[in-house]
Amino acid sequence: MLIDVKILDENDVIDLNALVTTLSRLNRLCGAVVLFIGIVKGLVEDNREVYELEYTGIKDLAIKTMEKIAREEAEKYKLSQVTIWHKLGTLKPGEITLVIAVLAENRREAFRATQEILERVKREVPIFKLEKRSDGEFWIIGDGVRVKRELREQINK
Amino acid sequence: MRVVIKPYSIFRDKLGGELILEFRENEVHVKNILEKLEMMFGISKMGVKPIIIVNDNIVDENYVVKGSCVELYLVPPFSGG
Repeated sequence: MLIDVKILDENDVIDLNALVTTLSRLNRLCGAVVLFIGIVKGLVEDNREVYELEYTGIKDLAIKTMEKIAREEAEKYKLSQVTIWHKLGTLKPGEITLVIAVLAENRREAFRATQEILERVKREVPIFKLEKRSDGEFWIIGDGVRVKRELREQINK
Repeated sequence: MRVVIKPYSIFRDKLGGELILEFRENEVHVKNILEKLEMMFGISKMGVKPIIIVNDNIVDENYVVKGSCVELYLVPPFSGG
């Protein structure tokens, strides 16, 4: 079982072709590669325009947690390889934020594992989002709750 | 003991950045640390329940922090992806 986990910077280039080529040649017993690509949305909540999504995170703990998720899911679904790459920094709409790739013997395990890994990454990895959009800046809390950002002077009044 | 508070996301805005709290004792409950932060910043009024991370583990308010200097992460629910 191979685990490939990385936190990438905003300027790091992600070569999806190279990733898929590598995975597809890795193990002749495997017949399925499932690839999930998370991208920044350009419109949210009644078509409000998003300019940027700023990702911050506790980097060392994020890597450890992603490794744990990858190992546990690889064991559970007998996967040959699990790749999880997550970007931090400031990203524009359409840019890639997250890549999950799974190599498995069969499609069912590959699809299930990919979905489970995605949900766990969203729930368990200490990464945080700030959405900068046409009507202000919003912290994203958990899975989709938005709280409008206030200046510190206003917060402490 | 010194507890270094490392806030992220909405809590970073509230606290204004990293902060050091001093305690006379060499061990302190997370509950007491949160009470101190409440007095200083009123974090309960933000409407976001903080997650506390110590030594790479999520802990609850009954957890006892020990040592001369400990880092404590104060963060909201995660939102990666």
